[in-house]
Amino acid sequence: MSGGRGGGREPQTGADSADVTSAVPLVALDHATRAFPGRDGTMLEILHSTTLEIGHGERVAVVGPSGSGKSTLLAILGTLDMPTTGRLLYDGEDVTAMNERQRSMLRASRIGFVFQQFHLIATASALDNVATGLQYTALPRGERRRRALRALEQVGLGERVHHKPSQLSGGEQQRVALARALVKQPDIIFADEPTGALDTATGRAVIDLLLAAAGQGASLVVVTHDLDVAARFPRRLHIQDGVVTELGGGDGGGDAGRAADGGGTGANVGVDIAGNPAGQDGRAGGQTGPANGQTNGQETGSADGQDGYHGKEADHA
Amino acid sequence: MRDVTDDMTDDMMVKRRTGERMMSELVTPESATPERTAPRHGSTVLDDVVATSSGRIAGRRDANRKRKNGRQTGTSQIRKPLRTRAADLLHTAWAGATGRISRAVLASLGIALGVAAYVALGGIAASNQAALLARLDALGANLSVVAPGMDAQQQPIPLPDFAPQTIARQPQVERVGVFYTPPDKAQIFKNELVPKTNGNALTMSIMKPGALDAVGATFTQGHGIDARNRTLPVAVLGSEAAYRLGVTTVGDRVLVDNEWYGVIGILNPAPQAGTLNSSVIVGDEWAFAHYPDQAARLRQISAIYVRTKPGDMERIRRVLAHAASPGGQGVTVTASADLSEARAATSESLSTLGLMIGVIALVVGGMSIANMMIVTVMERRGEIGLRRALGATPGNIRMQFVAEAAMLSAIGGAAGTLLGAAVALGAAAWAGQPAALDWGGLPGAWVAAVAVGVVAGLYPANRAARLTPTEALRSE
Repeated sequence: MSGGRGGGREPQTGADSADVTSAVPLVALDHATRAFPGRDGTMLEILHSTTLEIGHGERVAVVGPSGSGKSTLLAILGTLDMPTTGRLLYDGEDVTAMNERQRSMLRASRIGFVFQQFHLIATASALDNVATGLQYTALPRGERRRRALRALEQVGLGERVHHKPSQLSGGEQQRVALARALVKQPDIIFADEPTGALDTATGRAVIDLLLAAAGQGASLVVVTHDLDVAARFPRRLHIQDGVVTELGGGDGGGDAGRAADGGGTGANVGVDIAGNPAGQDGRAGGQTGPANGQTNGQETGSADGQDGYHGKEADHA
Repeated sequence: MRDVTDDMTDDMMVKRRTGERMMSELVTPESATPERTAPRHGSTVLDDVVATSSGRIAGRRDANRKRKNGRQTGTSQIRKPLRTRAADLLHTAWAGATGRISRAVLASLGIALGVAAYVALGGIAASNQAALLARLDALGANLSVVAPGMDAQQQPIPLPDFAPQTIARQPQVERVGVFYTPPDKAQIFKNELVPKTNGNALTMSIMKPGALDAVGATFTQGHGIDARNRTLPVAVLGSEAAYRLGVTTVGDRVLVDNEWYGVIGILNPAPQAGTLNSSVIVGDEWAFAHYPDQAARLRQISAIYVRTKPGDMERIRRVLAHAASPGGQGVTVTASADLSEARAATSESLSTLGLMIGVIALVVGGMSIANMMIVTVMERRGEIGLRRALGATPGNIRMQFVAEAAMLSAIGGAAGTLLGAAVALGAAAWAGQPAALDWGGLPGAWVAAVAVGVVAGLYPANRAARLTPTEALRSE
């Protein structure tokens, strides 16, 4: 049974970390940039050359101010957008070289998305909305609905499957959207400000569900401006003005059991443009949690990438 | 596998211990059952998906290859994109088309009215045409008259006695009516008080029973000469004859050659056989017996009215001439050729008009659907982006919106077909025309409507398909 990909689970079970670190990461950005044509015709680089890796089962928060390029980074990682230069790799395979149909299949089978605005289809029931998450797979319709029901039960909405989005609260709507992402049992979930439209308590519940889903083996990348949310993730990336830096492991504030040592230095981010103010990182890190003092975002080199995995392994120890 | 489950359970326990009540409420331990966690390993998700789809051999082969080659093949497991399944397509199209009822109704109203106009006009034209053809036929569009020809001295050449039988045997012939030569200078008056010197230009006609049916003459009152009264002194008056004799009711009597005749029927004007209008028509047996001195002359056929099926009049004329007399000699056959031509022309021009108006209406309806679909695509950019994120290919998106446009026009087309048929039948009933509807053409009208919808949906659907996922998602 797919021993290769199953390796993604191994860090969690603590089986063979050496094998894991030599393994190909689930998602990798290789000197990727993204530029858009500006008003005066020149290209405006929103994302500067970025190299980073996300392992199987890894949980990452991306923080940064508005307009810093968070959503652009997420769209590129999620194959919704392609880097202008550089490469995006899934399991070592170059996604940028694929055609649109192949990328669509990749998303259909392996990637889940959660959006700030939920993006539910207003005229469809919760069940149909969740089943839409499997519409572009090979599963027959009956099976899709069966799994959708299971996913709704999983997010605690088993009693509200036939409600339309307008009949659900914001938190319930986001949980429907979450079920839609989970129903395909994705390898990785991308969430763009999943709590942005929710109050604190509801948002917290949604993050709980996301982390629980990641606990079942899926990688998780959450973009947020909420540092309390970010603090619950073992690995945090900070992005400002298109430059991605590693913030090191979170203290797992509300999640104490997970990131006991906060050891994930996560230095597997390469930033080609030097000079990102260290103080910035330090400030952000300091806010996110007391245990976090390691902000070595400017370090380059993949050797340190192991730390990220060790850190995660520690979470599950 | 087992450690996974254990891991999960531990995970849950940790959470409970840390007092995350919300968490334990939302994610019960049941949600992390082995069934759920079992196929969780990376590619097993895909294997699972692939294995469940029967017959997708290519996908399964990819999965197998993946197993053999391990990690190196990476995304080789990305199967070929699926064809959109018809059931999904219909379901999505139905949901999309009926999602905004009022707008869908308005948009498909255009198509509905287009199809209704097409069907109704076609039906009304067909009814008009049927009514007109019925009138033309009453006027004699398919009525021929076989009469004796003239010889070199302008004397009539008598028709053979068997002519009515041989004519009736021709396949094109429906009815045959025989009139005999009337006696010379019959004197016809209302009564004995009218001076004999008064002329009234009325003539006498002698008919075999059934001749008036072949002519297509109708009665204002009474009935015609039949097998029982052909031997009696009874008469049927043409419309003009009745007027000049002042006879208004059946049961009155007229004086012909000093013999009283009971009036048993009065005819409507018969434009197709003008001579009958000013005629007093009597039965053949009575006339032969009453004019014994002229019996031989009277027995000569003066005219045979032949009602034929519609067809090539020239050919029918030849057939009738040959049937009436061997070699077709000594026979005059006249037919209302002008009316026959008018009949053919009428049926074509009315059908063409109906079709043209229908096509114009359909095109306008298609434009209203295209218009609405463009607005729909702009409004539903978020949904388009979402579907792209869920794995829809641009082709899937294009198909979805084309199907939605087709769905709208299919609904509108069905409604329009019914409406148009109802209008056509109602109009025919109101105008007292025969209800003629091209039932076989109704499915064709509906298919045309769906085709118009597909064409109308292509441009908006292509716009939707060209949106990049990020563009589409950003818009809301």
